[in-house]
Amino acid sequence: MRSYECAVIVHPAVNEDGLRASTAKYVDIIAKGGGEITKVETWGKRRLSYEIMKQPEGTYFFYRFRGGSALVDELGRQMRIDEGILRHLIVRDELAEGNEPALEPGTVEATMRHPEREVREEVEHRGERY
Amino acid sequence: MARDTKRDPKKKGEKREKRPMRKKKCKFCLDRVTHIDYKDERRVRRFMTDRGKITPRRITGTCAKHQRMLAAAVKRARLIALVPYVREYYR
Ligand SMILES: [Zn+2]
Repeated sequence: MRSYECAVIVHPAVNEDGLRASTAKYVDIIAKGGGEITKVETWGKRRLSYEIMKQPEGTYFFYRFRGGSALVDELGRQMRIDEGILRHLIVRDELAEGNEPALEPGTVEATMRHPEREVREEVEHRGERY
Repeated sequence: MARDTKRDPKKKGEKREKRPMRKKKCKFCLDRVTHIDYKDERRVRRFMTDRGKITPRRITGTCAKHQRMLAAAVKRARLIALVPYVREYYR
């Protein structure tokens, strides 16, 4: 069992109920695949740096979990065929200690990671030099 | 060498004035950074040009180890659209 973090960009047309359903679906897939969820977070809707499938924005979710490689494969496969998902990225969670308490799948809800972060134009970076 | 003559063809024979260059320090080493998070958009962006390229080590003074970590973080951040792959100038 390794610790992973899965970042997901959900299609901006998915409403709040849809987002909840999406979270429930992937929490279920992780649990059924023998994984343990340690955290589910969201950044809410954010502007994308470039359009994905013609969409200028999307809702960000982050799933932190422990599991095996078969689960990672299955999770990735499911996300790829999910039309509600613009993009996903699963990486090893290098910062995880490995002893974070596992959450009860039925109770998992996405918490806001950066409440202050909403759709906003980032200040353009003008090539600072050091 | 060739670049010097090109830049200032008149002073060909003269000795070029040496600019005292302060040795740049790796920002990440100063902060004792052991991991660069791809989600840390602000930090990652600071090491990118306005065109969306990763700023070279020779400009930022980042050490080799941290530049590798940074490059990996930038690539991940690009994948989930936190930072651009390219940004063309506005016309
Ligand atoms: Zn360094």
